[in-house]
Amino acid sequence: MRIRNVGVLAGLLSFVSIVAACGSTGSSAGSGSSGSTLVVDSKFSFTSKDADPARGGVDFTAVPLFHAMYDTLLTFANNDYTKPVASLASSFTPSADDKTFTFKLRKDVTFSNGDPMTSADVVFSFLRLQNVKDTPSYLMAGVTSVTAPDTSTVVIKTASPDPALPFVLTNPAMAVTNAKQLQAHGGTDAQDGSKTDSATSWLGTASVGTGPYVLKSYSASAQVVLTANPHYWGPNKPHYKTVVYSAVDPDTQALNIRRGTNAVALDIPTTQASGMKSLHGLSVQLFSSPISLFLFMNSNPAISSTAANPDIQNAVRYGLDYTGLISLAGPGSARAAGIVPPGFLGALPQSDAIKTDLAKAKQYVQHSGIQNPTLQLHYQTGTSAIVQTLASRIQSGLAQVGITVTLTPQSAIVGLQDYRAGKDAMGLFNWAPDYPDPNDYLAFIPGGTVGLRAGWPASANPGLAAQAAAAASTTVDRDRGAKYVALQHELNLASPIYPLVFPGESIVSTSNLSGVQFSSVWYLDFSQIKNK
Amino acid sequence: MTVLELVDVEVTYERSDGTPVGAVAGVSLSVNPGEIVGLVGETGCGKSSLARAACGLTRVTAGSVHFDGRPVRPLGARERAVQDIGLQMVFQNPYSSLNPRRRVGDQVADGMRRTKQRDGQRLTVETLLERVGLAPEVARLFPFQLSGGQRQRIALARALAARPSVIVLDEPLSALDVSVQAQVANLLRNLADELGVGMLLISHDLAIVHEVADRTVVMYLGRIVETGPTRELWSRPLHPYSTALIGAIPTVGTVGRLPEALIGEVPDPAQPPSGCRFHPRCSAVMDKCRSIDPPTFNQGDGRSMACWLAGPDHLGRLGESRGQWHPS
Amino acid sequence: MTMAILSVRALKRARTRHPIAVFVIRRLLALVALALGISLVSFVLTHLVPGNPAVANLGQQASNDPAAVHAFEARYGLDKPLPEQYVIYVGHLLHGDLGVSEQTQRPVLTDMVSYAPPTAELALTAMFIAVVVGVGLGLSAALRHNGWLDRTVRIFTLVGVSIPIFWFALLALYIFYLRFGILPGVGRLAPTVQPPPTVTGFATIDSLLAGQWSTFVDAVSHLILPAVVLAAPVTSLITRFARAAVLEVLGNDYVNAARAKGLPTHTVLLRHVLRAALSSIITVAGLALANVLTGTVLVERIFSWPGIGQYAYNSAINLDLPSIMGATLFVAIVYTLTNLVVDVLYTVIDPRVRLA
Ligand SMILES: Nc1ncnc2c1ncn2[C@@H]1O[C@H](COP(=O)(O)OP(=O)(O)OP(=O)(O)O)[C@@H](O)[C@H]1O
Ligand code: SF4
Ligand SMILES: [Mg+2]
Repeated sequence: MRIRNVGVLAGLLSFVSIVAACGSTGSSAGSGSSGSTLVVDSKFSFTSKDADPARGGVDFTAVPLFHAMYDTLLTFANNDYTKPVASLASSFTPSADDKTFTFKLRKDVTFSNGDPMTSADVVFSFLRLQNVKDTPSYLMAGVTSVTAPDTSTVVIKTASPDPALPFVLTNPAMAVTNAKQLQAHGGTDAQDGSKTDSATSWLGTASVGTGPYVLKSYSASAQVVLTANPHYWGPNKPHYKTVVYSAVDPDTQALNIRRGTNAVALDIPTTQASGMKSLHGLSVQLFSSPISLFLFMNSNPAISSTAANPDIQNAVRYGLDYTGLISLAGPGSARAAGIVPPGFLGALPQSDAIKTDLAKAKQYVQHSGIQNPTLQLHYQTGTSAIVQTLASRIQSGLAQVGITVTLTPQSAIVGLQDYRAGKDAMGLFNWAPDYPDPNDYLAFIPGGTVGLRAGWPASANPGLAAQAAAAASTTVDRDRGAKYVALQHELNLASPIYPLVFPGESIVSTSNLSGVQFSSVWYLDFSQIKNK
Repeated sequence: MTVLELVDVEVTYERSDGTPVGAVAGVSLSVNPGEIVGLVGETGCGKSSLARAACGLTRVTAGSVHFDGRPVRPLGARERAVQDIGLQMVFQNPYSSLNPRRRVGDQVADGMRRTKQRDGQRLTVETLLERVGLAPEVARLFPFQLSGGQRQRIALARALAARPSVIVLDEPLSALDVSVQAQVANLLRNLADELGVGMLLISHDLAIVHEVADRTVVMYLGRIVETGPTRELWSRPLHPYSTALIGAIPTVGTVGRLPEALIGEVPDPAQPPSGCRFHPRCSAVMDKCRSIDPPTFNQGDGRSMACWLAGPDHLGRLGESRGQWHPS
Repeated sequence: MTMAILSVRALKRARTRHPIAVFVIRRLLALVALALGISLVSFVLTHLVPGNPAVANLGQQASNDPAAVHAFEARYGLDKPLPEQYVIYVGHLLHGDLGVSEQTQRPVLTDMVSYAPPTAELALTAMFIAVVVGVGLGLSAALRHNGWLDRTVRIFTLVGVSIPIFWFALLALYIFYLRFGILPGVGRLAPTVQPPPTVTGFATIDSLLAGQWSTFVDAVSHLILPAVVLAAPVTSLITRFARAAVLEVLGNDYVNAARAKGLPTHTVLLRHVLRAALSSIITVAGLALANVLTGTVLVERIFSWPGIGQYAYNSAINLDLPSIMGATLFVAIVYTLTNLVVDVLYTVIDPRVRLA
């Protein structure tokens, strides 16, 4: 009896270990792999929407895929995000009023199925993006027409002067797709595209771009598999024939990368990543993300008379413990001197940041005449762990100047809604750039998208609004930069929105790789990654 | 020739608080082929413990149990030795002693292969059922489709399938209706007579024991106080406890009640009284009884008892003084 | 009228002849009603959540654009009054149409068909491990009641039910994958392995069907860790129940009677002990499956397992109403069917119910 039972148990154990042993010898146990496959771990959850550039998310988990499969008319080179350069378009000329943009297309570009790319494809792609009215369609806001005078020329017209248009065109959502193929699978650029376009789910099975990679499969094992585009027109063919973009929980990415070869992990928390610097065989990059974390106070007295009080707003401006916040945000984080991220046109140098001045802050509190000012701070949970930490630090910091902050964490979905409706008295939120141009930060001026969320209409500060409008319509880059610098100086002093940090990010890769380079537009360019 | 022999058997349990309970405190007993030995005693006196020890369901703390001249090995997870299979048992509760999920025929047939190994013979389920007075069709039924009496017959048939030489029956009748009790009791008698099976029949229904047992053993608080042929013991009990017990039984078929003559609580077996264990309740108690435990005195005619009344000092007194305390 | 009488008679006849069949049919009819009820409850709940699907699904810019929001709401019928939305939903539901997922842009039913098999493969493997190990351990422990094995098992089951599955998953990954590399990390197949053609959706079975032995081995080795992690708490549960059930059965005199007749140990265990303990084991297994299904949400996330758990999680955080409804219905139906199976098995193994 005893012997028999032990036997059964032993049998079971040995079966398990044999299967396990087979597993480890029969296939590579690591997620990284040998030879021609590059494995990139990301926390993304891929859906076929993310395979359709006209509908997909514009967040950092999806853009590397678009960038790999699709090209845009213009792009950036050498990490210089102040100047768009040629890509599918060999040249472009803005009209003097910055309202008409003429693009000459390269003639040697083919799609991944071999079809030559023409201006008709560009027109179709842009109009489709505009008409499906989905997540990235706002990129086409202000565009009044896209036309093709001949097969290699595209003309884009905008309602008002739009010097940022060339920057917008670098966004991976401005992908040029094969019109013929898409139309054959339900794609349309018609006005009623939001109802009639049905190509999205098909795009989850095949890509129709000119990029260095094509879509091979997705999601069969929670991963997207790309293979090198045989018809790639560019001068540099991608080194890796296959790229596996895997959905992996951030907690497991750190395990994976340590066993991997030819592997990259995109979401390891920076504290953990900086600890991995000492590990042999890994290279760790820490950098600040261009996502701005900011605090705002609602200037609408109907929401909160305390938050709307200019003295209290100034007290918060000088009472925040900026240095403490940066160190809490973890390795790689950078102080947000202004709302525009470093590296972008018009970004402020660190030295121009507002400095903590507790004495001044206390004076403002006193001057406000409000006894025991109390504010409710809203923020989203579940988005990033550091938000909770920062919120607590803001609470303790402002307590020092006599302002009581109560923390109101909310689930992502619920929190976003009140925030976007402008109902939060005080909020801790973030802004991800839609394109690397300061125009995207006009959201923060009075009457701008975020300005309104902070109860700050254009009428509240007409002078600033006018200054911003002037900056927006300036056409010469050098002048634009200067104007945005000046604008941000004003905003820092007067705005109820306080830029705090650009939080740190990490990319950890196996050290046999070169060309693993963060980009604030497409995050990572797979085709640049090589084996040393 | 005895088939089942218990010598100085002790069964001591440990309560959850660690105190030892001497449920059986030195019992010697034997069963011969074809003989029914009736074991009677109040509730809690250790009958079941003794029965379980007799068939190896409970480990004995001291003493020995021999079946067919070989020590009985405790029934454990290990497969039972073929020589021990002739020692069978029937339990009190015919509801829990049959597997509700199996056909009764299958349960009767269990283990027949082992029996055949032992003596080369194999009984059929039908013969067994017939022997206990059931129709062959019953084999296909499940326990819940049978009455209590039928179930107990099945339990008997199941024991008989092993062609036992001894069956230990722990209160086999107490869960049955009065009319059925008599039928099953008769069945037991017939089986003992016809098959030569020895039986240790435990019951607190004195009437049944009176009816079927060849010999009666009276137990009190873990000890045997008196043994003798049923007829003699019943007509002339010697031990004060037996006298009280038997005097309380009016007619056959009435479940034994606590004799009125026995006043007071049954003592806790964990703290047995000093000297004679019966002394706090004994109407004939003497000084000696309180301090010295009486040994078992042989009384001739196959009778024996453990009481100072049978001791050397009282030999003369016993005969004449009986009338003084005998209630009848 | 006559028809009605006839059918009542037929029903009565059927009830006496095939009690189980009638029971199952009745339960299945109840299941339809239940599904409708669940759809109503989950519909109301998901639509009452104080979040706006358009806000959740469109980015920071698009959700400010009334045209985009309107297009989104029109596409998913969110612009209609709530009761009307529900009537439309049920109408489609009755035709097997669960709507189109906002995230994947595919019919929810198609999503279910592709996400359910990985979960089923994982959950069934976990259940298999839990039942085999749980019953084995429970039986062994009960047979050596209060022995060292019993004590060890008792401690382990206590640990097993109280250990956080998340922590356990990472620990298991750390030891078996990172430290010793005897098992692969996350995912269903190694990134380099070509998935087998989909037949059943079970990577293990499909690879065997395709005759790809090395793919099969890879699939099995990827299955072990998540399945074991998922199985751990329920294994403890089953062990505890099996141990208690076996102990109870061992206390029955029919077990002693069977042993006394010299039945070989394994026969006693199979014919008597396990058979009698089976009904409580089946009951707890039914409960355990519910636990396993809940556990998949976390385990699938950690192990990048593309199943219903991840699907439900992603649907929830994106407020993808059709998918949430679909996943809820799916899980509810699986759960109810499991209960039905448990009840039927219960009936089949217990003659008292079967023949009464
Ligand atoms: N497992 C056990 N642990 C501790 N004490 C026990 C155990 N089993 C029995 N006892 C005690 O031993 C004594 C004898 O019990 P036993 O069951 O043998 O009596 P009995 O004569 O069969 O009683 P009844 O006529 O009620 O069946 C009782 O006091 C009982 O409480
Ligand atoms: S020994 Fe004494 S106390 Fe015991 S039964 Fe005999 S007379 Fe009574
Ligand atoms: Mg008893």
